Amino acid sequence: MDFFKQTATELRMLFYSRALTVLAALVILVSAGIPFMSKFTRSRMRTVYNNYAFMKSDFGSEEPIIVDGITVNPDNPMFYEIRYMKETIINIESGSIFTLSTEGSAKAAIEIAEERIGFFAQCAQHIKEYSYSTDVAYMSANLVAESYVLKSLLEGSASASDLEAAYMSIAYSHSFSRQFIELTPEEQQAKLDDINRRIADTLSYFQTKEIQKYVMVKKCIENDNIEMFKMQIADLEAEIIKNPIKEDDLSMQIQELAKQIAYINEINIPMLDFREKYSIEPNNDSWENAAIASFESNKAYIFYNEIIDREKFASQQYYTDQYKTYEAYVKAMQQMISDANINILISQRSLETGKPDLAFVTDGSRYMAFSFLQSSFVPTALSMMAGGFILANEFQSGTIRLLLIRPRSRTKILLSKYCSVLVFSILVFALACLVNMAANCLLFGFADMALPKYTPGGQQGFFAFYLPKALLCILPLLFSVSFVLIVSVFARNAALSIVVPMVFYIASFLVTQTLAFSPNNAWGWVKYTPIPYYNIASLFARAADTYTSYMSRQVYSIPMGIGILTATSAAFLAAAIIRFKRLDITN
Amino acid sequence: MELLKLENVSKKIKNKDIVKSISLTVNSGEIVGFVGPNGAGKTTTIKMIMGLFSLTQGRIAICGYDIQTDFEQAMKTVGGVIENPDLYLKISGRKNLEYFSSFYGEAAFKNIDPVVSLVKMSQRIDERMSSYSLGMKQRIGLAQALLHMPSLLILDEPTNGLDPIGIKELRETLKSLSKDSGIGVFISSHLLSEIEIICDRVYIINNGEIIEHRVLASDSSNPIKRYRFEVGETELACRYFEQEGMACQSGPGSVFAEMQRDAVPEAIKGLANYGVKLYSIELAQRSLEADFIDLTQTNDGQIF
Ligand SMILES: Nc1ncnc2c1ncn2[C@@H]1O[C@H](COP(=O)(O)OP(=O)(O)O)[C@@H](O)[C@H]1O
Ligand SMILES: [Mg+2]
Repeated sequence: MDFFKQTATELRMLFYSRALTVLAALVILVSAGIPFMSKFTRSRMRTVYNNYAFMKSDFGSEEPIIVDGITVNPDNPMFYEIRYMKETIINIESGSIFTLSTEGSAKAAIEIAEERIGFFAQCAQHIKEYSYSTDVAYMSANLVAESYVLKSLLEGSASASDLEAAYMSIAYSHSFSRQFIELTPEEQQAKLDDINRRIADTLSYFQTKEIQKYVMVKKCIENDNIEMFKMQIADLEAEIIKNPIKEDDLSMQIQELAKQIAYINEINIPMLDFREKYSIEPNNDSWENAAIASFESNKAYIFYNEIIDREKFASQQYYTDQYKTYEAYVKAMQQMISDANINILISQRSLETGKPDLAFVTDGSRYMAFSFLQSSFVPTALSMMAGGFILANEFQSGTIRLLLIRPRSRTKILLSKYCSVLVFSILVFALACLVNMAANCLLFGFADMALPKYTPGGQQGFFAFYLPKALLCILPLLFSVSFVLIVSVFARNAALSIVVPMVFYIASFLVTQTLAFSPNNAWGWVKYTPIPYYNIASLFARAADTYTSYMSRQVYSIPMGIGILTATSAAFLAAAIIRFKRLDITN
Repeated sequence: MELLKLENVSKKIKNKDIVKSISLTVNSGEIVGFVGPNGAGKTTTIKMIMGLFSLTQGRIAICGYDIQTDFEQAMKTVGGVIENPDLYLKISGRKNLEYFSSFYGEAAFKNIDPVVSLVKMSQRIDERMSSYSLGMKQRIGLAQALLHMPSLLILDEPTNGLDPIGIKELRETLKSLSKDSGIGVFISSHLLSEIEIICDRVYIINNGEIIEHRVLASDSSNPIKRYRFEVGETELACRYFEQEGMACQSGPGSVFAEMQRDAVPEAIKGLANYGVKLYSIELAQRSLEADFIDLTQTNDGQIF
C-alpha cells in the first residue's frame, strides 16, 4: 500500500518535469498526427502515380489518328500501337522488311497490320487509359492476325508460305504450320469461328466491363499459352529421341515448361475463378484485389520453393551457409510454407465471407493501428529519458542525499522510482496508441474496426488480435527502463544513463537490419541477447512485410524474445538493487 | 535522553582512514557542536549517521534504534541536511516539501505551512527552487528536516551561504527548538565562533579524530573567559585554581585561568586567602576559538 502511494508520488514528480511532459505530449501529438500524414501521403502518392509519365502516352504533341471514322487521341493507350502498325505498313511498302520478299506476303502483312489497326481503334473507343483492359487488348491483338490467316487459307486468297511470312513479321507462333496449315478445313473453320467469337467477346468486354467476359477472355489467353507450352514440350520430347545426348538439358527445359503450365492451372486459373465468383473487377484498389494478389504471391512462393533433398542441400553453399544443418533448413522451409498457406487461407476466407482481413485493407483503421505498434520505439526512447532523468539525475544533482535519509529502505525507494518510470512510459505508450487509433478511426472509418482477423483456426475480433500484441510492446519498455536503471546506478551520471541505452538501442536496430541480410550463422549468438527483440513489433507477421522483418522472423521467435527481455530486465533490476543497497553516497 | 550515540565509529575509504573511532552523544534539549577544519571528517561522520555511508566499524544509534538494523525506525526520528541543501530545482519549494512529506505520512503534510513560516519562507514558497539564493535554499533545507517533527536534528554546516542576519536567525530558531521542544541538535561547522554561543557542548574533530570535548557554560550571558592574573607566586596560584576546578596555565610572573565572570571576585578573595600576591587582573584575549586554532593547526594548517 505504502509502496503504491510512493510510486504515485514519484509519478507525480515525473509529471512536474516540464521537459518530460512536453516530450510526452509531443509523442502523443505525433501519434495522433501519423494517420493524417499517412492519409496525405497516400493521396499524394496516388496523384503522383496517376500523373506518372509512363502511365500516360508520350505522344501528347502528335496529331490524333483517325481510323474508320474513329479518332484516336495521342493520350490513348492504343495510340502507340496504331502508330507502330502505321509505320510497319510504310516499312513494308518501302520493301525494307526482307522477310516479306514476295508481293503476296507484303500484301498479306499490310492487311494484317490494317486489321490490327482496326482492332486497336475499336479498343480505343472504350479504353481511355492504361488498365488491365489495355493488357487484354495487347494480348488479344494476335487473334486478329490469326483470324486473317485462317480466313485467307479457307478462301485460298494467299499461299501458305506468304501467309506464314506475313504472320511472322508481325505476330509470333511457335509452329505456324501446326497451328494453321496442318489443320483440316473443318478444323480451320471451327478455329476461325472460335477466334472471331473471342474477338467479339474481347470487344464486348471493353464495352460492358463485365467480369464474366473478362474471365472468359483471360482464360482463353491462358489456354493459348498452355497449348503453346504443350507444343513446345512435344517438340522437345521429339528432339530427345533424335538427340539422346542432350537428354539432361532438354528434359530440364521440359520440366520448366511443365511448371509454367502447372502455374497457370494452379494459380492463374483459380484467380480468374475468384474474380468470376465474387465479381472482382480488376484494376481498382479494392481489398478483393489485394486478397487475390496475396493469394497469388503466396501460392507462387510455395510453387517456387520446394524443399530440396539432403544431397542437393549439401551441395549448395548458399543453403549450408544460411541454415547450417539440413534439419534447420527443412524446419525453416516448413515454417515459411505454413506461413504462406495461412496467408492463402486468409485470402480465401476474406473473399468467401466478403469481410476482409486487415492485411488487405492497408488504408483501413485496423491496419494503421496495428502498424503503429511498430513505432513503439518512440515511447521507448521517451521512457529512457524519463528513467535517466529521474534516476541518474538524483545522483548528479545531489538530491539523492536528501532522498536516502527518509524512513524507507533503499530497495523500496529504488523500486518505486523504477515502477513510476515504467508506469509513465506505459501510460505514454498506451495514450499514444489510443489517440492514434482514434485518429485512424476518424480518417479511415470506424466500420473497419468491426471486421474480423482470420486465423488458421477461424477468426477473431480485431481487439482480441491487437491487444496481446500491444501488451507485448510493453516488454521493450520494461527492458529499456531496466537498462537505464542499471546504468544510472552504476554510472550515476544522467547523460551517460541516457546515452548508453540509446546507443545500444540504435545499434540493435542496425545489427538486426544487417543480420537480416547476412547468413544465419554469423552472429548466431545474437538471438540469445535482447538485441533482436528491442523492437519486438517487427516480429509480428504482417501483410505488407519488409524483407528485414520477414528474415528476422525466420531466426528470432517472439516467445524467445519474451523470455530474454523479461530475464534481462529482471537481472538488471536485481543487479541495480544489490549495487544501490551498498552504495556509499559520495556526491 | 540520549538521542544520538556513536560508539567507536570508523570509516575507511579506499584504505584511507577518514574517521577514526569516534564516540559521541547528543541528548534531548541539547545543542552539540561538531567543529573541525575542512576535510576533518565532519561530513563523513554525518553521512554515516544518516545512512548515506556504511560504517567500517562501530555502532550508531538514533533514539535507541541501531541504524544498521533498524534503519527505517531510526530515520523517522531524525531530520537533517548534509552538505549543500540540494533540492529539486525545477519545482517549487512547496512541492519539494510535499514530496519529502510523502515519506512520513499525513502529519508531515500538515506541518508544511508552520515549518515554512518558522524558516520565514512563506512569501516565496511557491516559486521554483532554481530562483532561490543559497540562503533561501538553506532555509528550505532546514524546513524539510523539520517536517516530521524529529527528535534529533542534524545539520552539516548550515551557516554556509547565510548572511549575518540569517545566521543570527538560525541560531535563534535552533535555540528555541532545543529549549522549547526538547529537540537535540547536532550541528557541524568549520567556524567555532559561528556556533559557539548556542552550543551546550562541542566536539572538536581533526584528521578524523575527536581531539577535544568541551562543555560550554550553559548561560551564554556569562561565558567562560580566560583571565591573566599577575601574581608573585605562580605555582601557588595554579594550585589554587586547580583545586577550584578551573583550567590553569602558568607563565613567567603570571597565571592564566578560565572562569566565568561571576567567579572573578571569588577568585581574588581566594588567592588572597591562599597567600598569593595579586598585582593585576586582565581579560586575556584568548578564547576557545584560539584554542581551537591551536589544537587543529598542529600541521601547518595542511588539510588532510
Ligand atoms: N569518497 C571519498 N573518497 C576518498 N576520500 C574521501 C571521500 N569522501 C571524503 N573523503 C576524504 O575524507 C576527508 C574528510 O572529508 P569530509 O568528511 O567531507 O570533511 P569535512 O566535512 O569535515 O570538511 C577528506 O580528506 C576527504 O578528502
Ligand atoms: Mg563537509
